[in-house]
Amino acid sequence: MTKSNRDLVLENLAGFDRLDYEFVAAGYADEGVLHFMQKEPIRGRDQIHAFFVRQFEPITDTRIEIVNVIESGSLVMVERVDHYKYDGIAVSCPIANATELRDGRITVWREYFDQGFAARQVKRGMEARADG
Amino acid sequence: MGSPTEEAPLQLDAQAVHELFSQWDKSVHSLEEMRRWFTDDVVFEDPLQRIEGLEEYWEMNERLLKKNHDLQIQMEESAQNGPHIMFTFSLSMAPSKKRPNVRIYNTGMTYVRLNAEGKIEYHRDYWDFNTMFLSAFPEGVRKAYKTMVKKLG
Repeated sequence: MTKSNRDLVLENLAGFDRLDYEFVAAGYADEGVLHFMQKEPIRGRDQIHAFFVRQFEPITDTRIEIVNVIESGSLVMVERVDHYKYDGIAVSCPIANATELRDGRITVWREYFDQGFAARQVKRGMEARADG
Repeated sequence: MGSPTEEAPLQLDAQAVHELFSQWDKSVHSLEEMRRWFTDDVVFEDPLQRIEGLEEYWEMNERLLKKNHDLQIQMEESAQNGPHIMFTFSLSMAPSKKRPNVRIYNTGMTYVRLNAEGKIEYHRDYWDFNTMFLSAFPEGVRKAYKTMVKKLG
């Protein structure tokens, strides 16, 4: 049975729980785009995979908490809270994503969140660690 | 989108909410007209604040419109599932009337939940504060800031 776009997006997010970035990147179309809105978009499945491997290297213990999901045709919009450890420091960050799919593959994934919100938690954790 | 009256109860849907939020950039006057579409105990959250209650919510919106100039909002994609509505937007505004060419820009995603009467009872915005703050500066300054942040870890 063909999976819905909603299911494909939720499966992709579940890949982060397993830190399986190969699986996550495989969900993108060849020329798929990942756009963290505060940065330049990353184009192409291989580049997206390389980005996750590089940027998420300090991240462990990921748990994606889904808050709301709406599917409308080729568009899936998700509200979620990402819980993870960054270099051992616990972080929880509210995030929203708008994802477009075609033929079962992600063509565009846009991430909306306040980067400072997560960065402040890491900073506080590092300060607490330094204080012993 | 019609005005809500006792005879015609509120019937907000994704398209109507889309139109409603598109009016945000017009004026404080039009903002006043929009109040009726929200519940008295509406809750609002964004990266800067959590607000409870229509009065405080409206004060925040009036401050935003009074302190900034030529607010322009473009609504983009939207989707609805019953009382749950989400949409993406981009906005720009001039923080100073004296320097209208200095504008700040941002993009975001909004989630709203409607109550049984179809009024907005919860509104949450997702956007990045630094993106908006830095957008007011020339490209060279933005690059220098990002390089500095990278170096400082």
